Amino acid sequence: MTNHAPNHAQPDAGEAKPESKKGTGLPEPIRWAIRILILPFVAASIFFACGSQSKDFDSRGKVVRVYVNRKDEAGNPLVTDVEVLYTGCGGEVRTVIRSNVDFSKCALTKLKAGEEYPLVLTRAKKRDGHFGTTIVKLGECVRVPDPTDSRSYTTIRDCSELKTDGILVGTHCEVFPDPKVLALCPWFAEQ
Amino acid sequence: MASGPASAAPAASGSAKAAPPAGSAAPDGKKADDKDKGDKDGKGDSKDKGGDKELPAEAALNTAKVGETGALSHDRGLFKSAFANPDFGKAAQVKVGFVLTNISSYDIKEGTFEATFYLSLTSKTPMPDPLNLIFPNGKVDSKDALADRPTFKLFRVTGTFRSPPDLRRYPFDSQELVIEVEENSKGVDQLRLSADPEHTRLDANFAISGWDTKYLEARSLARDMPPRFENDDMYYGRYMARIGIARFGTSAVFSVYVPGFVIVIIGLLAMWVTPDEMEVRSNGGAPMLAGAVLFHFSLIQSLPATSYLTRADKLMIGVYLSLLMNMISTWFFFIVDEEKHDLVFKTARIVVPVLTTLLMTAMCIS
Repeated sequence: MTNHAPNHAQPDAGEAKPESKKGTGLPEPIRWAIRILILPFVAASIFFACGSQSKDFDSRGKVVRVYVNRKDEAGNPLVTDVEVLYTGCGGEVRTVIRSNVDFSKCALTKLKAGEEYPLVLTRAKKRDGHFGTTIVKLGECVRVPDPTDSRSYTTIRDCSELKTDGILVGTHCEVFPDPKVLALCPWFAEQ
Repeated sequence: MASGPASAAPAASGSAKAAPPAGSAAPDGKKADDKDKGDKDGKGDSKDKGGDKELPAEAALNTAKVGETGALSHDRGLFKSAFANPDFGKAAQVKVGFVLTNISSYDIKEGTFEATFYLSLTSKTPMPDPLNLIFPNGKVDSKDALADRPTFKLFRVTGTFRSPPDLRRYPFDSQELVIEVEENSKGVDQLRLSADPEHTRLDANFAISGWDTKYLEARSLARDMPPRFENDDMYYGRYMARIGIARFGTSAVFSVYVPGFVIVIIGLLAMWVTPDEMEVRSNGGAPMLAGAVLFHFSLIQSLPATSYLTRADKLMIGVYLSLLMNMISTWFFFIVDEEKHDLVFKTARIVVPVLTTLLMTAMCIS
């Protein structure tokens, strides 16, 4: 690219340089304060950009129930719910997952209530438009999460006895993923 | 205190049983013919048959004796109270299940919330009949009986309940929403409530907008009442469900702390305005102070009056003191000699930000 700048431009630019430095008008401490304030925003942007990448998790769960929710006229399963109890999260962490024909066929033939299976979780879009981590493989059955699915849900329940004066008076159940659950099953941080 | 021996006063003594015990609960608790199906006013399960209103504790009252003073009492069993029923036999041990399906319209200023839940009562032996369940801290809009058998009852209840908020940590506060259930006509001699851990749950996808649900707690207790009448020594079973919720932290930071800090930081910028721009410098603090007052006013509008300072109040005290320091540093220029303006300017530029930082830190962590 040809430089069409006139020759007299250089001296002008040279003269303008000290003026622009002076023309910022801001004292040195304020300029430093602005730099300090901008830095966390840049760092946060980098952090969130990197942190939003998809991550898969492996875990294990016991199938509590397999329920065919809908069948076609011939009696073939169309939609099946599978209730899974996570065995490695501590407390009582249950997920009910619903999926399509392919998953239904597999679930009915290869998943049995009371049996424990490996499972894979990945990040997927939820009904509310946000992302959450959901089961995409249970045993040999592959599940394709549907973002319009409103049936699938997870409940977390870690109960302990409630005592007063050493007497059992009730029960206390944590229903939020506390650090203990998150340490074992970190994907719940994103639910 | 007259316990009412039969010989004490012939006119007044003897059994208080004035009529055949039509409404008395047999020890087995069965009374299938005249069951009250779904008392929807939430004021209990008392009956009204042909205009003769049957009280929920009729069986107990019928076996009580009338004393000299007219008060009723029992001379058998553990309790003297007119509401004791020594003929009932062993008290039914009732397991209370509680599944909370919805909480809405939580008003932290009033401490009220609307709740919908299922309440199940299960016992091995028949429960006294009729039950007179009340909700001491709420007003029930509907109480639909889905099952009503001597050993199993299931209700779907919707109502408005009240729990006083604790705002000491506001805006990082956690609240406990309480739903109380009490049987106040059958004492612990007939009915003992206990929480059922297996059936104390939240419904799927339960959520309260603006809050994280932290825990669900259920407990039962037996409580007495201040003596309302002679021989009022009965204990009554009460069941309490507590829902622990915590305000969203991010929301708290952005709605309270960020505006507060923005006011302080913008106020501090005046420290770099030189003494020859005194008008600019002196005019910088007033809008910030007005902004702080309006912001504080909007914050407290949504909260009830408290006898203590919330964390937000402490933050705002920090904001006010920071702005006051800014103003004092500006007023100094008017009271010192002009040749010392440069010294005041340089000193204030260091001292005020440092003190502000310390002050705001202290207010945030206190």
